[in-house]
Amino acid sequence: MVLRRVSRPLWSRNSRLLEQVARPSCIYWRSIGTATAEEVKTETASSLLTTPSIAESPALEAFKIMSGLILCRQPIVTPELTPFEKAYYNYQSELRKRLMWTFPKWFYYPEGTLAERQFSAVQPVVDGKDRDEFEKPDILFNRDRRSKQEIVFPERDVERETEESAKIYAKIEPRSRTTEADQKNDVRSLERKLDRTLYLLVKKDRRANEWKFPAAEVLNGETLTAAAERLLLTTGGPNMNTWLVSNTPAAYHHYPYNPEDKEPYMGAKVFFLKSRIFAGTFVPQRGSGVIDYAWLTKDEIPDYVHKGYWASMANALSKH
Amino acid sequence: MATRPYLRPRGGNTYLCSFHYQQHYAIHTSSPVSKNSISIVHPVHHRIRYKKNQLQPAYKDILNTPKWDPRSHLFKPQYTQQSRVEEHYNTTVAPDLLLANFVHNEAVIPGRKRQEWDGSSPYHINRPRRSPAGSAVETPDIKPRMFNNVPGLNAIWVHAFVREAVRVNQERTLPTMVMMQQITGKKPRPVYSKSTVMSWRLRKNMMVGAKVKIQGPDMYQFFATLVEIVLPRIKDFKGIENTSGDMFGNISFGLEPADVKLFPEVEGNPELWPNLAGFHITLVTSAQTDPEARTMLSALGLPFVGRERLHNVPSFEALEAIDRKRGIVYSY
Repeated sequence: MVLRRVSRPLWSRNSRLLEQVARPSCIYWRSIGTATAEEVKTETASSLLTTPSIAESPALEAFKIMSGLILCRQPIVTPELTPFEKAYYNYQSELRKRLMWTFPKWFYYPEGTLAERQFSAVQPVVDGKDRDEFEKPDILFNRDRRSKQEIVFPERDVERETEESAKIYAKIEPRSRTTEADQKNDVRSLERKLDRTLYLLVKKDRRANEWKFPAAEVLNGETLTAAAERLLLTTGGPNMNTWLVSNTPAAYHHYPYNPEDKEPYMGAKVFFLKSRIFAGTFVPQRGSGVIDYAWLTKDEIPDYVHKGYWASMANALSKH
Repeated sequence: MATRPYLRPRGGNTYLCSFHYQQHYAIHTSSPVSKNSISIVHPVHHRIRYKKNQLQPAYKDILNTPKWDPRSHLFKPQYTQQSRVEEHYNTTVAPDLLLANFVHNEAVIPGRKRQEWDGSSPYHINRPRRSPAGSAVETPDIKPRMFNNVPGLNAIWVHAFVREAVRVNQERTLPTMVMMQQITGKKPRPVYSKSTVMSWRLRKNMMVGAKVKIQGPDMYQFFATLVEIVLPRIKDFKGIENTSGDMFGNISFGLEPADVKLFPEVEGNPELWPNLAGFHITLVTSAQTDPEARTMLSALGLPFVGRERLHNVPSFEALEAIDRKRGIVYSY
């Protein structure tokens, strides 16, 4: 599906940018049936935000429609806890242990069995000796009900261990949450900041506004999605396992071109599609104009891009 | 002054004069002829019953402590650690769903509602509305997808019916109840039969099963165990059928007794659970339709199989027609 023409402005009324001008001779403006064409003309006339300059220079074309890409790598590990969160979780888990039901020993270690004897032997002695002078002892099923219950599990019998049980009891050594890329602060690595979402930014050979999300013009007869796929291949290469989240654009940014640049368009309108990378690496391809790239978190992007651009993009990016 | 008869305490009753009225009352104003007229007290609000002994000072603190206060006897700590699935949903799944579920030019799809009488007859006034056309009950409207109705997992119901409880002994539900408490972390309530069927040896009000509803971090933990440990180890498990669903975003499926044994709490002590019943699991989501619920659950790791069934999705032609009226024309 191709969006051929819009009769009313897409941006807010405060914008001073001009709306597209209908050009019946161009293929872009062909409408189906005469009735709709007339409707179209009247609509355009009433809803155009024209300025004197447009009327004077009718030769200027419409805006360049571009398809942009918000390529992100989702967090690999859970978000880092703030000191308050750590303290809160610690407090709540201690409360839970304090309020927890007494361990039902007779259910798991039936009376009279060897396992029960071994288990009981290693449990801490509960006698309630640390109570006040006239305080009644509150001990039930070998548990002092004034505090949390301490359970000690007997040590495993290593001699009678099989391969299977050794596997079950093998200690799990978790890997570090920070990687080499974090230490070196290698912004080109996908293994940096595992607890955050990383977004791809590319650097183009321009005198200003070098760092941007990748974008490419939507060619004649192409959809936004197809343009984004083409963009991915031409800028990053084929070695990426990606998934497009939705055909619905996640963000929109428009900007005018400098009249001195003598571009055939008034400006550009970029519709950003969100995509996720699951495996592979972004390798800047020759001929794409990309001289550098970076995988950045949402906090780091404002240092690279200018304010107006960030204002358009910020709300499309996940906080974490 | 004679005590007012309506305020005299009645003996042998735990309720203090069952109905307590408000202080406001009106004196009967009548002709001066009836000198010994009674005062009529008009009750202002509905009558409430309460047990006065429960309002004694000893209980004052207990009753006034809110549930979230650690000093309350009802307090249960909920968030004791970071919830991995919930964090993943909030950071990754929800923003994606907001984009993926968006439908251009979406309007409210009205549900089936009770039908009003057309007023052609004078007897239509105040007549109760008719049942909906094409449905026994009212169905909800499907509202356009916005930022404030992104589908999420609200609750999980685990319900077990224990057949042995009907055939043999009602106490056969107890091991299943203990098992449900172990795997969900919450004590289940027993389920009693509602009717009598002699051919099945079923009587009314027999304890035949148990059910428990879990929400919050416990729910996400149970969901994670299910999706990561139990379901992958079920023999020939490919996914939940796409036919599962109540049309409004709630997905159900069941586990056999052999599958229940794969839960870590049961697998660790197999000798403790000789006779286990399977159970049904109902995932209650805030999705408005089944396809949305399935999308959200599959994003959290639950696989689905079978032909995709779409319903309550506006047709492409209908949405195109809305744009054509505004003068936007699509060509392909």
